[in-house]
This record gives sequence, C-alpha cells and structure tokens, in this order.
Amino acid sequence: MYLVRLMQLIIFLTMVFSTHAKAITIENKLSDPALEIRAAEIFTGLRCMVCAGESIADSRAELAKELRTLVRDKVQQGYSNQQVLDYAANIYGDVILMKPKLQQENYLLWFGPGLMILLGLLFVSYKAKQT
Amino acid sequence: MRNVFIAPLAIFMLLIIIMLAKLIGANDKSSQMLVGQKLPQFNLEAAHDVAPGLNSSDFKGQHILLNIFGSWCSSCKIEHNFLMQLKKNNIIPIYGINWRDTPDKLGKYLAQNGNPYDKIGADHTGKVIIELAVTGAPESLLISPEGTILLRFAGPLSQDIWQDKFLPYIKGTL
Repeated sequence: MYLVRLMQLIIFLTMVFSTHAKAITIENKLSDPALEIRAAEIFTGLRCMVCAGESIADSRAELAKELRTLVRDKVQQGYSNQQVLDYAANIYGDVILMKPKLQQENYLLWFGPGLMILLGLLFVSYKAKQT
Repeated sequence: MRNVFIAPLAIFMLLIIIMLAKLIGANDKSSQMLVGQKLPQFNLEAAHDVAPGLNSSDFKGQHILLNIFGSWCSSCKIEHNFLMQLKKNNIIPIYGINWRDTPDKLGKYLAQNGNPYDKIGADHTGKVIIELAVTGAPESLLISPEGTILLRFAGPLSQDIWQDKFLPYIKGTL
C-alpha cells in the first residue's frame, strides 16, 4: 500500500514539474546574449496566432517557432523592439500584438474596465447615501 | 431580482456584447491578411526532384492555387485526396510550399498519396510562410492571373469549401 502511494507521489511530482519541459525542437538562439534577451522581451509582446491567449514566448506551435525565428532575425539585423513588433503587425495585423495599440477603436478596451469600476463605486456610494 | 441591480447589469451586458463583437471581428481580420494585395516576392528551391521549385513570378496567366503543406501535418493528409481530384480533373494548377520538411519525408508522402503539385518550393526556415501571413498547415491561397491574392483559407480543403468559397472567383461571378 505504501509503495503504491509512493509511486503516485512520484508520478504526480513528475507531472507537476514537467509543465516546464520545452519541446525538443532545435531553436538557434542568438549568439549575442544581449540580443537574445531583447528577442525574449519581444516574444512576450507577440501573440501566438493559433493558440488562445498565449504569446510566442511559451508556445510550442510551429507558427510560434517561425515567429521567434523572425524576431531573432530582425533583432540581429538591428531592428529596435518597436520596429520588430511593427513588422509583425504589418504582416499579421494588429491582432498579433499582445498589448493592443492605444488608438480610437481600442479606447473601450483600455479604459472600459476602469470606467466600470468607477461607475460601480459611484453607484454604490449613491445607494449608500439613500439609506 | 432587486431593482437596484438592473442598471449596472444592463451596462455590464452591453459592454460584454461590444467586446465580444470586437473579438470576433479581430478573428475575421486575421484571415483576411494580404487579401487584395499582390503576392509578396519570394524564391524557393525545389523541395524534391518530382517537381520544380517555386518563384512568386510563376503566378500569372491563370488562377492558381497556392497550397502550404507538410508531410508531418495530419490535416494535410485529409485534404490531399481532394487536391488529387482537382489535379485529375484539371480544375486548377496547384503550386505547393513545403513547410519545414525533408526531401526524404516529402518523397515518401508523395509516393504514397500521389502528387497534385506542378511545382513545390521548399521553405526550410519558415521565412516565406511568415511573409505570406500563414498561420498553420494546411493553408491555401487563391492567386489571380495578375498575381493578386484573392482568397485565403486556413484548414483542409474539401469539395464543399471549394464550391462555396473558391469556385465563384474562378467562374468570374465575383
């Protein structure tokens, strides 16, 4: 009985820690560590277009891998972080940016939640004054 | 429900509806990338002896189907029979971009399932498929006789999809 429990614990722990295992696909990281760090920053700013909500930083999808290669290429060519993001958005559309651009159509997205909280607080205080 | 909650709830529901609409709209946009634009320039070496390589200037003179595929891609196998039908009945020339594959694996794949492609370009590094705003395999693009991207479809082609979406362009009713 004790042995079964031990096996279960080992299997459970293996599962827990394997969430950090990277897929065994070969990716050529940039030889310059400073550039690789910048590339990693940019990864978090680009959406994996085929995985709901993930950035290309963590995604194992083929497309994510291609996009990471693209980012590394551009960084090596001397593009700034913003330039790389713009380049990707030019091809795939603004939807590829994890952080929506601050333009008119996105005001609701950016300010909506804050606005709702404000309205909520005002509403609650109004009701409190009534009673 | 108490009256006091109706107004905030209504506002909340309204915001949800607006945000959902925007979300669905954004998904549609990504499937429209590059549509209406000229095919970006590219040049790809032959992926295998069975067919020549592929250059963007090859797309002219008639409607051509550009198909992105890989021997590793299970959905590609699903649409392969349909592509063979298109080829057998001479409906439209099919040019392929072989994404992240090897000549060996591709050779086996084509030997087993047949070859519907007149040309197959090898994209080993994924650079070209990115330039084409491809999001996965299989993906097909319909190119006009002038080299413009008329339509793109992500997913396996089938008779239904061909008839619904692609045929109207070729018949000239669109």
